[in-house]
Amino acid sequence: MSDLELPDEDPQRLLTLASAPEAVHGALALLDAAAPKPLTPAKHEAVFRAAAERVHGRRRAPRLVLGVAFVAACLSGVAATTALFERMSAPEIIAAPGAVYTLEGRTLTIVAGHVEVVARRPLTVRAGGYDLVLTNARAAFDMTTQGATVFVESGEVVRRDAGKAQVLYAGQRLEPPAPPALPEAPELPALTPAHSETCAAGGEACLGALAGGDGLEAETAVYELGLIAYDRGDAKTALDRFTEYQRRFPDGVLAPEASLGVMLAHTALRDRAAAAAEAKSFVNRFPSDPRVPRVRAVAH
Amino acid sequence: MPSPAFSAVAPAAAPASQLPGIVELKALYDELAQPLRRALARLSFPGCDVDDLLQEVFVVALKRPDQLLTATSPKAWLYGVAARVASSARTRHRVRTFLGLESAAELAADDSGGPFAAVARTEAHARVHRALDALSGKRREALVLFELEGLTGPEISEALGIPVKTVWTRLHHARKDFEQRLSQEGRE
Repeated sequence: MSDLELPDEDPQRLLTLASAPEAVHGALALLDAAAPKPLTPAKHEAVFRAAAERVHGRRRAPRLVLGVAFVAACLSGVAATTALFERMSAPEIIAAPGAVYTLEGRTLTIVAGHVEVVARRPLTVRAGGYDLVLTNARAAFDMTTQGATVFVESGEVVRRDAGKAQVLYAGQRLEPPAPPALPEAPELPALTPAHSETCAAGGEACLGALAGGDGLEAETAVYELGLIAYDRGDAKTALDRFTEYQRRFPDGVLAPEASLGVMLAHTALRDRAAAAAEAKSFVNRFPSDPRVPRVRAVAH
Repeated sequence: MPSPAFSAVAPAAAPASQLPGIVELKALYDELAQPLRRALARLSFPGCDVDDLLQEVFVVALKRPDQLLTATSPKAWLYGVAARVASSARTRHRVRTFLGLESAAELAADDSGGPFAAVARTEAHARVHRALDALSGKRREALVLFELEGLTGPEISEALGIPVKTVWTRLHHARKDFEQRLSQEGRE
């Protein structure tokens, strides 16, 4: 391109061109001369028509179909891969005969029996109040009436408990938690001696003979026998006697005392649930008894 | 017959001849097809099908007739689209060459219809062409649009969406790079 062809309306062009080296001008002239051959009239029209048809949408449909097919193929591929991955990573569960468990998704709940679990991916295991997460680990679970025993054979198991996490390593064991200690026996009203008038105090043989009869004397004798056994520390015999009283004389004059005796005997035998049940029964049956407030403490 | 309130069948598309602004666009096409084709050839790569690129430019124009027809300079607008289309073609070409799907040497040697085919027959022309190819895309655009296509600074500024001062800066560096590359080619 020579300087004579420069447009007059662009003085900047003159300035910049003035500094262009001669070698550049020569090279550019070579390029300028190498313009592509002009389009034939038919080709000229064809190019514009093709552009208009593309905008009009004739080529869009195949692209849309291809796009949808591609997306569908991708989705099915992802689904197949996920299914395969899930199948490969499913936990291995070895259950002893009689074991009961349920597996829902990635959560295994063990209800009873002996179960061993091998988990490659994170698996939540719930057993006997334990909430555990196994990741690439093997563990054995034993469910008994006392609770669950967990033994980590390999890997690591995380125990979650009230927002805290405890890691159990291979070889560690979780034993069922000890039953909660019974609270100290509340101060209960002392049992009232019936003071059988026929037998001397401590005459168990005499009382036994009277207990076999009926009427008020038998009633009193049965209660006295329970009281003697309780004082001696024989809670089991005391419980039998007081229970016998309740059975034979449900509306006897010493029924409240017998109920208290049953409650105390259960407490001595560390059967807190039975003691609480008897206490509730006492409160319900003898609501106006002055000892109710103290008995209520056992019921709760 | 009353027209239904709702129809599940999409209305038939208007024929291509009814696209908005197509008459004005056809007039611009008739006027600028050849210069744009030449610019596309200079901005793309040897062996490139410039007719395809020209079609791409007018596909863009037909999709956005409101932008083109309300532009300060429709010519500059079209050159800007051409620069972007050529840039995309160069990128695709580099990727395909890298992947072994295209051979640059084969394309350069193909004189059946390539725009630079005639030039590449001589060693001098091939050297010039390699020097142009060695420029960065932005500098090449400035050099080609200014020196070969004869666009003014403000037109290039509008076409490329850059300030006029940037046009001159790019042109300055393009010339230096081009000259340096030419001298290297001469030594080799």
